[in-house]
Amino acid sequence: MLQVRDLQVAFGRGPALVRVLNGVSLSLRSGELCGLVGESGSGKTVLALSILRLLPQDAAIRGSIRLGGEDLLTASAARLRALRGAVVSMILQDPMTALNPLLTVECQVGEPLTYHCGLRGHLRREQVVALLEKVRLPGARQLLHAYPHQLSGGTRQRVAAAAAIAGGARLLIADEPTTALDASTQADFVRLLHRLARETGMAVLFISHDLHLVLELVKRVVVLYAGHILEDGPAADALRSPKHPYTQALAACVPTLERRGERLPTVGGTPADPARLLPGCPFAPRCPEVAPACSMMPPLVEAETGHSVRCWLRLARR
Amino acid sequence: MIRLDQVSKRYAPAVVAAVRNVSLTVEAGEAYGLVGESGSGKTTIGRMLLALEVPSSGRVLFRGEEVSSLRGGRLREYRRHVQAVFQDPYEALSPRQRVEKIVGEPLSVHRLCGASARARRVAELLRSVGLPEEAAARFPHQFSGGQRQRIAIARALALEPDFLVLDEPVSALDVSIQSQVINLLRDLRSERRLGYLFISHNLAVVAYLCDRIGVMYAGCLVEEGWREDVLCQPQHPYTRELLDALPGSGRLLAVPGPTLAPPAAVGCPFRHRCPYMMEICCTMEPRIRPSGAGHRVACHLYEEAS
Repeated sequence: MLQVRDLQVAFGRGPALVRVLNGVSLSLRSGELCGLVGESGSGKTVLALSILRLLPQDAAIRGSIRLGGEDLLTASAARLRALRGAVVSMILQDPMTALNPLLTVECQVGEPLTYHCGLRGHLRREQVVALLEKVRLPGARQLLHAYPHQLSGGTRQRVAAAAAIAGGARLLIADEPTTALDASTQADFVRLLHRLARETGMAVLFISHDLHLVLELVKRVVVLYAGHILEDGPAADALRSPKHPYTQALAACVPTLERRGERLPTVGGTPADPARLLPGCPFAPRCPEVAPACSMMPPLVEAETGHSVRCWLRLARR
Repeated sequence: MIRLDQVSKRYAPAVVAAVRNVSLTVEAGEAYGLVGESGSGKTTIGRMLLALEVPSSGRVLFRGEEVSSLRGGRLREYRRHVQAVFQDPYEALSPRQRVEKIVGEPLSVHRLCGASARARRVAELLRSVGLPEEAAARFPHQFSGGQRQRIAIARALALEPDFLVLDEPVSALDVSIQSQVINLLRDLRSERRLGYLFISHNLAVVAYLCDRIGVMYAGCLVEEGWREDVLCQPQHPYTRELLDALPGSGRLLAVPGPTLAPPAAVGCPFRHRCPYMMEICCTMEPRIRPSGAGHRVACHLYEEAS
């Protein structure tokens, strides 16, 4: 249902040009749960915003983004407004800034219902209550008149989720939806996303910097680094047999209970800065297996069925 | 070395106390991990230890001396021993000061060395946290989040403290950078025999650094014990919930998940979320009591047994 082909996004011009996405291709079937993993500066949020066409005016976008057969890059502003919320919607990292502090829960969740479905008054209220119950908020009716500041972080994020699914979106983009939440609340929100996807059949693109968290939810994971996809394959392989050295490092460096007390393996260096990229593989400066060939950009090649990797070493070994 | 004795903190008479009757001790050179959700009172405990807040009742003791009674020179002396690193390295460093000034400031405040000795000392501190000496001449915005947190750690080490309060020091960092900072904190601890109060909502991070773990819920310490005991034989239902919530086990979706109800005002604060709730939990709040070697728990489930 979503097809992103060779997407390139850059900001600025001339010597100040910063390429944030460099030819990203990604497709999602309806009902698919896909994870997008990357560090700060990897371009994961820019990818999400490009799908919603919410990037600032000065962003240069090339390539194609098709949603249900419709080209989003050539769609008119009016058409995009009709799509956002009804076909594709988004949950952001910080529910406090995503929700309008001056509107009650009923208004926030009801807005897409009025805009997309023409619901008003009593009918709309009942639908809002049904949505709040769908995201498992206890006491939905009492929440209607509450303002965001009166809610806890987990409740706010659930309200944001209710608003995101209100228009019946077929694709939900969740950009670090749990980073601002506590451990229990985070686990609970991931369970909620899973249930919503199963009940509504919508596809979910779950974006996070935490590979382990993503793998709890999704069947397929895409690893993004400095605007390039480095690996795209089944989630089960990402921990057991990650192919790209970056995915291997990400899988190893997360603290887990099993290896408590040990020294953690690390990814050396700092995340790539898209403004200062050298030619060649973007991960090469931090890669423990770097080789002379890495000064040239490796292609993204399908190493096994449904599992692609962008690394010279993995290609050579084939 | 550090002892909290029945400490409570209430910010206003009408609101629920942030911390209620917490007693715990941290020995010299020990790393104590305090876990719990936001609002559980763990940060308030850190702030009382740093003498940034005064307890409403109870005592916070450092080497037998009551921290809230320290004034003037004695308080300044105390701050040489106990330093802090906070969550957000973007807010903790002044954007208008060079790193040299930021890291060297504690040395100037305490008039510990002259200008040239200070520059040498700053360079030494930067090296010890894995930053190049040249970093001294730059401003915080020229560094990534992980590097900024290293700068904050270098500043905390400037006075050669015995004890660090680390309040969610890696929560704002990317996972790949988290592991670097966790390793740095491990190394520093063994090199300098530092004691830590490590505050975090992530049990796995705490498990990497700490000898003992305390679990807080709704202002109370609900479980405490040696790392292995708390992680392998958790007793309090909330501790089990936290363990189930850890990503990486592959079991996250298999566990039904709790109803995230707010803490109860009467009886056991956890009872609305507790799968084992009994009648007694609705009326009587359990007190924390010993249950095993070095292990304490506040739960009615374990009272008959002990």
